[in-house]
Amino acid sequence: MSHSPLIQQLVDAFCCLPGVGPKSAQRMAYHLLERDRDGAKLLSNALESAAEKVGHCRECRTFTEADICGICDSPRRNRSLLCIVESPADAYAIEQSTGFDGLYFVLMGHLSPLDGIGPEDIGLDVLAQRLTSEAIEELIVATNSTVEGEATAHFISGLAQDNNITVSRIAHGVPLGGELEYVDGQTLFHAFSGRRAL
Amino acid sequence: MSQRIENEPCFVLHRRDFRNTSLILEVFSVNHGRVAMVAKGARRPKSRTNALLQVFQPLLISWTGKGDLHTLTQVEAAEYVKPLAGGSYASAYYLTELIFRLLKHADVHEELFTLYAKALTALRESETNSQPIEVGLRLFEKQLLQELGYGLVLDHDVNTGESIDPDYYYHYVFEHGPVICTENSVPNGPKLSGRSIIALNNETLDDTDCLHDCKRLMRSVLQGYIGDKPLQSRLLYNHRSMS
Repeated sequence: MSHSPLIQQLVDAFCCLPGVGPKSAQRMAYHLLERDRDGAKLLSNALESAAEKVGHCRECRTFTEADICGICDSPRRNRSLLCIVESPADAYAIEQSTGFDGLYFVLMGHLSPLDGIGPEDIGLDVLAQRLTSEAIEELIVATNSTVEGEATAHFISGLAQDNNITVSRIAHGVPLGGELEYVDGQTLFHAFSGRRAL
Repeated sequence: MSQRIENEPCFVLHRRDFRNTSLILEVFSVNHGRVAMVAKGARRPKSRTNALLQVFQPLLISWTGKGDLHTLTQVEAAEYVKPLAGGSYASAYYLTELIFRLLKHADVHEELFTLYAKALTALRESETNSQPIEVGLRLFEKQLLQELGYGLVLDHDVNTGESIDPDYYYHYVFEHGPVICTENSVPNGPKLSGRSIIALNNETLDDTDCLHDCKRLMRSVLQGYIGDKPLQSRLLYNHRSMS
């Protein structure tokens, strides 16, 4: 049995979500139609207004519907600290767990020369401008612990050094509760070379 | 026919996300050249392979399959290497991009593999190494061209057959070789001194003029093979010097 055109359209639309294949898309579609028409309307309205209105913060490039996002706009944040992350989800994770009270700068990606993603594609020109025009004292580079993330971190540290700003990189090492035996070799290698005095 | 390859020394040249949890890798292997493969489930949160499947890391990879896209079955680190020194990422990407652009699938180049591995090691050691990074890059380019069958003629003038004279200037004609500059010769390819050509031939690039000449030569020759689409890793250098 094939779906009627409207249902098929809905199923196909759900398939654009990550982790959702035709089967789960169908389940979602039927759930909304059978049990939760109000939820469906709410979802469609929320999707529509978000897709239409959410843009990037002028200062930190994260998603927001305002011109400047809540964090960048807040008078309580320490404006001399800037933490650089790859995605809004990374900023959120740090915000939830670290008590960091400075500002963020969201790259929306990382340098990847072979894919043609250069410094300007991840907003490093905007960052360079902020470094010269604002009183930033320390950059905390919290890009992912991949080679691309590391390359991006080094590139940013170059920008910071041009402006005489202290740069630090988040530490890499053994996860909490991790048993050394099961930690992968490369991580252990980093943990060892980045050991600190007690 | 389906084949099974076990523990082959490899480097990942390029990786991109595939579906929700997998990766598609372009791998440079010692005995099978450049191979494309899928690493299924490599991006799952608990996956151990994701951390290993990074560019510049010497690996031992096993895969199976036939056709153009193989399936990765196992991966381990060939050795644990220290991360690249800060300034050498652009250069390491540059070497990788050259191989990525010039090497076709299943072209086997054992020598090139060794060359690439050595060049990466040199970049890792570049902070303690006395030889500037740039010298290593020029020699890599020269040997890369040689290995791929595009070797440069650097010992004689291709028109006259005479040896290169250090005191004269030459035009390097693409896919041909050096031709001596005379007053009425039409410029055809980059102009460089005989001294630089000899230095490149002997692999003794120790002064800045030679390096500068060789850089222009290599840039023009490589562009001939790579085509008009610019090398993206050069942006990492340019931007740095601009800012």
